[in-house]
Amino acid sequence: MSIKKNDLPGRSKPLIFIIMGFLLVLIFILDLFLGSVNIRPAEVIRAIFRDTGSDIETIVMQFRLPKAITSVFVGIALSLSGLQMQTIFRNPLAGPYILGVSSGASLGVAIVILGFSSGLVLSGLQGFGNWILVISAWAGAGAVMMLIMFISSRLRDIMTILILGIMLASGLTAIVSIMQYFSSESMLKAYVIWTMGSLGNLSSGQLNVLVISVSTGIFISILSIKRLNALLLGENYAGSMGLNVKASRTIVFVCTSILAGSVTAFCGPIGFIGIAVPHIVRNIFKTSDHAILVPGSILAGGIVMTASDIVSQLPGSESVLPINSVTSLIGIPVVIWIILRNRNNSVLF
Amino acid sequence: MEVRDSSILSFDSLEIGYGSRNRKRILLPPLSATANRGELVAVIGRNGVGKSTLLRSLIGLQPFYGGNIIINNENLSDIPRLELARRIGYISTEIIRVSNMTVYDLVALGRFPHTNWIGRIDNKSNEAIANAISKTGMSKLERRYIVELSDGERQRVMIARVLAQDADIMVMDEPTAFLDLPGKYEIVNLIRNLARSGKTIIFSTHDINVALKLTDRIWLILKDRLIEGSPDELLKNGSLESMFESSESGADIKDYLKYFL
Repeated sequence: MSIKKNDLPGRSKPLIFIIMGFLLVLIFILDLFLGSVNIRPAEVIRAIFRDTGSDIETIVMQFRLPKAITSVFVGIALSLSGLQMQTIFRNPLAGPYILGVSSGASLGVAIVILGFSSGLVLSGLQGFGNWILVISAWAGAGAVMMLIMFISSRLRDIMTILILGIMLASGLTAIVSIMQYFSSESMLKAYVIWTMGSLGNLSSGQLNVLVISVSTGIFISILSIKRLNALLLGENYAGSMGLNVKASRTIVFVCTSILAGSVTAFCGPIGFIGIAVPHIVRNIFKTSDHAILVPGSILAGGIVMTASDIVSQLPGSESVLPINSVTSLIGIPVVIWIILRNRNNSVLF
Repeated sequence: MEVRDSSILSFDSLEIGYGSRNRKRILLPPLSATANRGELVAVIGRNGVGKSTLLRSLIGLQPFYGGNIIINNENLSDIPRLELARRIGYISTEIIRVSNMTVYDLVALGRFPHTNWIGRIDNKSNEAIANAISKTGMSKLERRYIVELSDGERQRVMIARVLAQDADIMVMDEPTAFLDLPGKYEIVNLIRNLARSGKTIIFSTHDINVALKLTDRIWLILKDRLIEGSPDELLKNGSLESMFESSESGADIKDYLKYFL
């Protein structure tokens, strides 16, 4: 970030929000215009607003528009869950992917698909099945959140917690592999199809569930702004200022589990957006105030994720990169920067 | 125990400790003491005797297992969380290091029990924050980031945060622990002036000099009891010496304590 400390007077913050909002709209439109099939912008716009029944309309309305909407909501969900995890664990390296919350959600999904009849998810119960899928992902994510909280109440060292989180993620993935080994062919097929899930594979029913869940998460996050600010000082200070720490912790757990779990349920585990975006936002706005960081993460999360989606399309070419490799290449430099800055554990965020 | 009119905080037969109901560990026999409005109270005692646990119990962060704590003639357990935060503020030994947080931001967090659902800083809060920052002499550093402050400045900001909380009682766990000698006296002078202006301040310290010369009241915690009194009373009746009973250099320390008489 090129902005120097103290260079940013408070009054320019609305301007940054306006620029970010503009960027999000711009990138969203770009995402509609760019893809493996070359379609002129004018035709894209016509396809959105007019019922032409052409192939172009099918591409734009059935594929590009849902995918762009998915990208925005996935970006928002991962960034907001990362932000809240970093605050509640007081750990700059916390994020749904790195601490195994996404793997927990995967295990939840695997238990539903592999453990029960695969028909449950794939059959005519489609709409209902999506909710079962997403709720099991929430439960898996929530279980890992509680485990990490339990560990971090005993160990303060953020690097140790990070390593344990990675171990936990590997362990959960191993359990899923074992379950795959013992499951029947049809269940396995259903599960493998799920693991290949990306931003573009959502049915309209799934997109509905994702949008409803993430919107709920956004709503809870906005209601949590005040308590997140108090939690920046740790649970002791927050409690001494009148915060109900237990209730707040539960609310943050539920909120992050809904956000990270919903994304994992429909798009698979997507790495490094949750950890990187909150840091980018903190450094753009130079603040620790969640009244700025929550809306900032919503905008930046949407921008970064949609931009990653555009890059993964390799516009103009036939091939598509896995979304996870793009987000990793964006996120890992940020993580390395945090680790280098935290060598002596002197700064928390 | 008789509670005088000027008493703002008192506890009676208080059993402090930690652990769950089934596996609780009570640290000390039942304790009783009082703090009056505007008093500067030093809590002294050896490491691990239970000073921090007592302070945490007084602000409602730690459950206690017997007796009661009275704040403004009301039982602590009857006071709602937010109301309690408007009456009593706390500074622990924990050092706050949050990047991108300014002095103003940290002090503003003290308004938590007074602001609305989203934490909006209205004019009244803004005034309280500005007042707290100026009383602690931090006005020039208002826009600085807290990670850039010295230990002494950071402690001032923590005190400003409690001032902004607008509580009559301030509880501080070793507020001078990380400070050099001048820094220590600056902070002690600051809290002494705050006590003179009407705040009741209860702080733990290992500095016998500070406790004996600058405070109004001492709560001396020994392994088997709490002795309460003015610095003079404790010196004259020999209570302080009992803190060193088990210490090898007990005799030298008794000589040292005579200098304060």
